[in-house]
Amino acid sequence: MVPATLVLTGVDIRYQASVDAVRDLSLTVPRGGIVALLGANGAGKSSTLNAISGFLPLLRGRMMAGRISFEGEDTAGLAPHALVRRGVLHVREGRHVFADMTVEENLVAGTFALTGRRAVHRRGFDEVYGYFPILAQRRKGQAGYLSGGEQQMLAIGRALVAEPRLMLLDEPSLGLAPRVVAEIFAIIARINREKGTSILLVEQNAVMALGCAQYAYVLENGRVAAEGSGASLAADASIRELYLGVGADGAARSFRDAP
Amino acid sequence: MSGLQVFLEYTLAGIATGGVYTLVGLGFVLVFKASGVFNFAMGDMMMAGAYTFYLCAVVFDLHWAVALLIAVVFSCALAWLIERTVLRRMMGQPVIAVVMATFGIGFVLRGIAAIAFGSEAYQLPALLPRAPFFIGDIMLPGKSVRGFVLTTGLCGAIILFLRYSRAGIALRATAADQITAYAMGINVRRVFALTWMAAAAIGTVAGVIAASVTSLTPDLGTIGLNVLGVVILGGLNSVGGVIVAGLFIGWLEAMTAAYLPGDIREITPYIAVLAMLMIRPYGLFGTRPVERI
Ligand SMILES: Nc1ncnc2c1ncn2[C@@H]1O[C@H](COP(=O)(O)OP(=O)(O)O)[C@@H](O)[C@H]1O
Ligand SMILES: [Mg+2]
Repeated sequence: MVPATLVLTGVDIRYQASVDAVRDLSLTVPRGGIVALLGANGAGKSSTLNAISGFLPLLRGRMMAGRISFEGEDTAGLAPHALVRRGVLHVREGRHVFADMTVEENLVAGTFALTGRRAVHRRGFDEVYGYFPILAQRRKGQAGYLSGGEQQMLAIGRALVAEPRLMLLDEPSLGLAPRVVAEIFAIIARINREKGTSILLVEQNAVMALGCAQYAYVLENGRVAAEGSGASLAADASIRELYLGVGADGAARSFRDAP
Repeated sequence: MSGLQVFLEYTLAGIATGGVYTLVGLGFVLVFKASGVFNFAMGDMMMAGAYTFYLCAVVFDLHWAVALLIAVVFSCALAWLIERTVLRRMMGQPVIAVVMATFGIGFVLRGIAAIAFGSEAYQLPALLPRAPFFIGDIMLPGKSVRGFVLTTGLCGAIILFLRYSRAGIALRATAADQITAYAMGINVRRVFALTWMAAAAIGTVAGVIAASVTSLTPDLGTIGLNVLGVVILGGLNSVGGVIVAGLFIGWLEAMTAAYLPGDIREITPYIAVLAMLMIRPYGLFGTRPVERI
């Protein structure tokens, strides 16, 4: 059997001198699938992605328990850049484009992920520019002057350069106009379909995320409060309140009290 | 001797000194930009490189270009060793501890030089022909003109490297945002090591130029103190700023030497730095708060 792209089992995350951010989290991203990880602000979504990509120690955080495996292999002990070079690309919350560099230099930075992967040579950035034609127009422009939506496209494009096998997208809709959000989600779905890239999609915008994910987990206060197929969760009105953080005092109650 | 000639000659000499400040300052800035470490051993790394050059060029009587190459390679290896053995172990420690460690490294290097070579001042062979240089009928000292050309060329090469090379992009990415640099697959730890090695290489060239203008003693590295003023003036994380500030401070020193009495001369550059910091606390071109040192 082909192993799932990503499997988390019983993951606990804690930051230095702080309460637990994530408790006993298990989730699976099947090969070629889109899985959404939903939840309100502070639920532990970004922490989960940082655990997967190995950034926790850089943020003074730690995985206290549990196991993360990528394509059947335990990722503990892999340096963050080494994991990237195997194809785990984390598009961080807030985009983090290199503002002082041009669009193209940002894409060149993305090519460091290809280090040591034989098959891929420098093929230029035609594929990225194909998905995001606006970036081709802004090629020589400074990334800091791009609009929010364009910066998000650059952040995703930069990951695309690296021939990702798994993309971790942290709130790609953050702060963007609905029209732009729709455009970006359409491209995410296209990348998944055309390139077979597995995607773990973190969102607060659950409507959009459930629209393209096959399966979703809802986090509340660091624990999985609900999970199910994208369609079934989208149909459940109570879930909307839960991810919006309305029922922050307890998952069960927010389920019961939901209209 | 005309007033113009005095002015030109001192200006050139000042810019040549300033070029050395600039090079050493670039060494500081590269390391600070990448890793946030303020490397107080920079001046002493420069001194170590200059002694290696002396050993090769004078004691072993090699061609100066070969000697310089060996000195650069040696100091790169030394910097790599320092980064590996001392700094990597100190990851996650408070910045002040790391800064104190660089102080310690500087002391050790100076001590080794003093034991091995004594405090005697050595003369280095002239790297550059001393034949004078003429602009119209104004005669300028060849050492200053050629020192100026050499340092400007080197600064230009460094800027082009940072601007256009792939490694330069890795360094700028690391400087801008470490976690995102990791997210690009950049080996950030290796970038740190490379900036230390680049700083050592640049420092060696600066040290050889400085020592061949004056002389070589274990205290050559105290020039690092002047450079401290330069990088603070330019902005700790600004390559362009340190180039402008280095040349300016060198020029200002020469001007005060030409036109002001001795006791004011010594402090004028520092007054300039102080005045500047009151107007722009992050330095001329800096963007990061200075208190990070
Ligand atoms: N670097 C950090 N240091 C300490 N606590 C943190 C850090 N990052 C996140 N946290 C805490 O961990 C919890 C989960 O945060 P996060 O994973 O960012 O949530 P989300 O991405 O779902 O908004 C929050 O309580 C937050 O305050
Ligand atoms: Mg988050």
